[in-house]
Amino acid sequence: MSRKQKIYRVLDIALPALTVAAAISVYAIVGKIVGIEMLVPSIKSTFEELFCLLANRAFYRALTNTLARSLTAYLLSAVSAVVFAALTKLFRPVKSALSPVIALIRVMPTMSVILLALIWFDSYQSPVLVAYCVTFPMLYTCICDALDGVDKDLIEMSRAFCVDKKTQICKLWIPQMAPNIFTGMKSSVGLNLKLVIAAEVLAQTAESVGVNMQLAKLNLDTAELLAWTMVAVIIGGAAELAVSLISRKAVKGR
Amino acid sequence: MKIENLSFAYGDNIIFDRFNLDVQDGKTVCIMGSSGSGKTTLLNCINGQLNYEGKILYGQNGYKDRRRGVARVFQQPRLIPSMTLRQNVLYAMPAHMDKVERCRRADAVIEALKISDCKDSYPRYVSGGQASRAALARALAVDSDLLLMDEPFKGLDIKLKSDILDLLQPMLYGKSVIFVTHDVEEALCSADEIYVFRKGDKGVEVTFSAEIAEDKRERDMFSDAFNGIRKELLRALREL
Repeated sequence: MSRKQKIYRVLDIALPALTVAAAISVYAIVGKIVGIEMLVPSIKSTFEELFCLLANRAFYRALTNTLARSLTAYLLSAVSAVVFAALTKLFRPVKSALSPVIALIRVMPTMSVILLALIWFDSYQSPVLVAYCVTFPMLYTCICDALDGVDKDLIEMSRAFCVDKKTQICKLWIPQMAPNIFTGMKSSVGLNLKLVIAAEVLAQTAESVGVNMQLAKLNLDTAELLAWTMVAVIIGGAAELAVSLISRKAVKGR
Repeated sequence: MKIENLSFAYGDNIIFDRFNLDVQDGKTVCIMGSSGSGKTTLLNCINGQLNYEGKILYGQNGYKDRRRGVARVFQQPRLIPSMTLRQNVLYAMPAHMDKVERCRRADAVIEALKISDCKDSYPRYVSGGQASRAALARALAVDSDLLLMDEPFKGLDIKLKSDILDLLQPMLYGKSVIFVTHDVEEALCSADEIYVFRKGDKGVEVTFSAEIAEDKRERDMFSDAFNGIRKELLRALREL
């Protein structure tokens, strides 16, 4: 590794750490200037609140419920995106038939989706539906692009050598599609969790992260609200990191 | 292999109109001609990638099976980037073949083409010459009766080209080869028959054909006989 590369590697680690430190300092300074704990709680009290949450069994129940909803929505979106993208690739008319639905879901304001879902479904189902409605078009488009992005020359080569379909899918199609799919997954996995929490706030879903955030806000307990926010940020960040790590392992030879 | 009354057109553009060609078993046929004269299209028809009219018969018994026993080298190596060179060679081999036998055969061809040292490297990290040899290894490992080569040495320097041709010649004995090239020397040193294609109004016309009887291993490329064929071939190519 050259000296320049070493410097860049150190900067890659140091600069994000410095940015976080700077943001925390700015927050602490603003807190000091405002001087009202209820509006801008100190970092110390936020962490105290976080540790209080971590010691509480209800916190884990709420977190598990929210994560289960988020995972359900994501899996449903992923499975249906794979099925519809495959159908689109195999039968061109499916793309034309689906295009208005995808376009409609994509441009529809998220708040409309949340409010309609609240009218039509109960408070447990609507967060799943809301996250599904936003994540599905993203994943569908991303898989369609990935399918279209598979190198035509390599497909022709596989046909020329009569490589069987199973081998083609496992060794050509999936590895060629992986980078595009992981990019889509990385951007949608965090968004999915955010949407579930947003819908839980509005739907007042019992025993959820969203409803606890709403309660903290109603009680003017900003420190607790920030503690819940930290939890959501950590979980979303961890999910994105996991996708990045899997993608780094899975995408070979590039 | 026998091509009888082959007809094919891209829309209104007639490429072949009742075209005939005979490739004797174990012989190498070189096809030359200007770009767009139907050379690659002919290989695509033989490979069963295009829907044509007419007959393409393979094997001694004249069975008609577009896909059976055909291996191909393309203009570009067309290696899968997520696989090592060895995995690329194994990828094209028939799935029904015993795994141990597949590996043995792949390794033997890799060894013969002198790419053993980079067989576990990904295509991105090897040179153009190594990638070309890997593409050749992939086609040779399939062990087909018929090998289709479409300008496989395009973009390689003369030294590398002649090194690969030297490695390749002994491996082609007994195989029927259709070799598309623009390089006169490549054609003269590897062909048993040479055809020059020209695209006419009614499809492909053969404007030149020559048979070279001399054994490939003993050819003196600067002999009077070769100089004669070379002159005629160059004249035919200039007149296209």
